[in-house]
Amino acid sequence: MAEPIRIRARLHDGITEVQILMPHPMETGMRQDETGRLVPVHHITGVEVTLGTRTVFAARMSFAVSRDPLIAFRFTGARPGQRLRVAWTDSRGEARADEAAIV
Amino acid sequence: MPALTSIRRRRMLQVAGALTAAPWPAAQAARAQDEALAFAAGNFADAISALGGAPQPSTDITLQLPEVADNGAVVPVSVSSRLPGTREILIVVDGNPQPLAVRFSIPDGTEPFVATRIRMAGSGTVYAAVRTDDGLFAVARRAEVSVGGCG
Repeated sequence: MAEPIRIRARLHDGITEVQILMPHPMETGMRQDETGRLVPVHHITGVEVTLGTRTVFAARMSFAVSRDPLIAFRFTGARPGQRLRVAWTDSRGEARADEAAIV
Repeated sequence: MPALTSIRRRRMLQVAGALTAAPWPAAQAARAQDEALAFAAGNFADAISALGGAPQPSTDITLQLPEVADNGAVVPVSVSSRLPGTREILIVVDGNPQPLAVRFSIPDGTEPFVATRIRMAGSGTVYAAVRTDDGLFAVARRAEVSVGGCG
């Protein structure tokens, strides 16, 4: 079970600034482990951030995003207390979603 | 290396110029199918081709990238676009085994800005591309990488 997504969503002057950190190994498939074997590819492929039914941000990614992907973005139209939901899926079909309140 | 990249880029822009006299409907329709191809592309020219052809240079895109990255596994990058109708921000790393690193969707109401951290296999040029209703635009910056970040 993957670790929870860390979400920080701060509303100021109508703009919600969001920073998300998604714990994930983001293996490129090119790294060797201690025994010299190649660690298989394993990375987040898709991210979706929603406010209710509204998608406020999305990403499709390859293994070329650093381990524990950190993404910052900004959007308008939110109210304090609304819940932001972040969901990722990965190359093995695993998934994780977490929510946080906009403060 | 930089000379080869710019020669290749100029040639691609010449070809793209000849082919893109018509508007983009074909490229838009094929975009969904091309996504898998774009991510799988193993070299810069193929990735750009899968994205619909060479982007036009733009001074309305700001790409922040360190000039020197000690650790190629964690290279901070941010992109901001002043182009009207920005729908998508893409990061393409010339020199990575799969150059298309990530593509971000910018829905209405979301600012055309993103910051993240990418892997660079070695020193090379990072392209920030922006897709708008008018097509694909890009700006590029080079980073020197001390220790490669893909393996």
